[in-house]
Amino acid sequence: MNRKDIALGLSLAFMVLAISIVISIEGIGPIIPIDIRGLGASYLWNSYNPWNTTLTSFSLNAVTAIIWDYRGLDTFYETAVLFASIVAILMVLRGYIEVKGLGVKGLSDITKTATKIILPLIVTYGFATAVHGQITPGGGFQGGAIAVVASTLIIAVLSIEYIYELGISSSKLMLLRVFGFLGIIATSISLAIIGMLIGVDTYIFQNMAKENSLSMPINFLDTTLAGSIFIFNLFEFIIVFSGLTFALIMLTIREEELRNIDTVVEVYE
Amino acid sequence: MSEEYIISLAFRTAMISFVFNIAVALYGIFSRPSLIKKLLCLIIFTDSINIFAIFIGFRYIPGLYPSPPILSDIPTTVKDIQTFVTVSVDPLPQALVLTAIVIGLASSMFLISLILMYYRHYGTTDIHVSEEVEKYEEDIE
Repeated sequence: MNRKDIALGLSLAFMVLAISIVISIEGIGPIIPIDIRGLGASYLWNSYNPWNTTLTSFSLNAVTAIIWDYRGLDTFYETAVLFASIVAILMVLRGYIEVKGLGVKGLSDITKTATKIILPLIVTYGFATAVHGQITPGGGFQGGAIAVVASTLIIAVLSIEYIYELGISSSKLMLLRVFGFLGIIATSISLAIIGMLIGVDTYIFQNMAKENSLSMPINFLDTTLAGSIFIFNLFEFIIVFSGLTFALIMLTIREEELRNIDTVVEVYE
Repeated sequence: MSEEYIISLAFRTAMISFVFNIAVALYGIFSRPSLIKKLLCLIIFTDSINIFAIFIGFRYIPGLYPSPPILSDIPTTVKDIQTFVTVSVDPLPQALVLTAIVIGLASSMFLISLILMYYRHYGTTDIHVSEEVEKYEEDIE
């Protein structure tokens, strides 16, 4: 127990005490307010409101409406951060080569069969969560994170060789990821380009018609599509599923696949 | 004691426990030598702050239960939307926390790969041991 640890403990205890006093006298505002804040109330009013067509997004789920419509640029940059982190992993582990047939067997046959039965159910559930993001709790990121459980199970139970046998390689996943990212960019600027061509004022990340007449599809049969929110959720599902599976494959590397990582570093230097 | 006072007390206790959680996680980040433990504490720290932010968006409605911010009536009438605004919780903290979760996931994935390379280089995840190894290597040179 040196002097540094004592100072650290005392300062953390002081921090807890100070913030607790502030919370207990409601210094950061009422703890559980009866009335909602004005900004939140306006989002609730407008997320699905057919009588206010310039501000609504026709999404029953207010959280998804905020994520992909009202604060769409935020979420675009968030997706870009996820993309950049995958590129950074690729940079740290450069020189990595996929080697097939290393003789990794996985767990017992009973576990393997049970897992193979569950796998399509998990992917279907994740996809349903993603495409119903505008009507039920869920969205692209949540659906993608559910579907990634399938690839995690494959790696843990059936071994990584099975992923290679399915025809999934890290380069294909990277391509899928770039495709999803380009899809989000294309969706966000598509209405702006169409408006430019036919001579109507439109915005980037426009979902519903503002002072102009251009709008994304509102309904499909009798289900609300919420315009671009559905398309964004679909592409986000692709991005999250391929990106996280890619990261999982990169982080479960074997010694044999990392053999020439040092030589590659020397070549670049 | 009124029902409102008891609920308010319970919520304050929960929020203070999150602050305590944040303090323990900060102790782990500053004081533990192992990088894996530092990463785990960082994840606990992020999640505590996220739950804290969601708590700020919660609300108390006398005689009613607060509902998630999802409208469930199609076709919708004006009265449905009015009821929705009266009973629903604030959706903005939830949306911001979702963004924070994704960015936290991205940064922790990158940190895991860095720790993996660190382990391959030094054979340990302890930061003090690696300092000794570096000094030893410098002495040899």
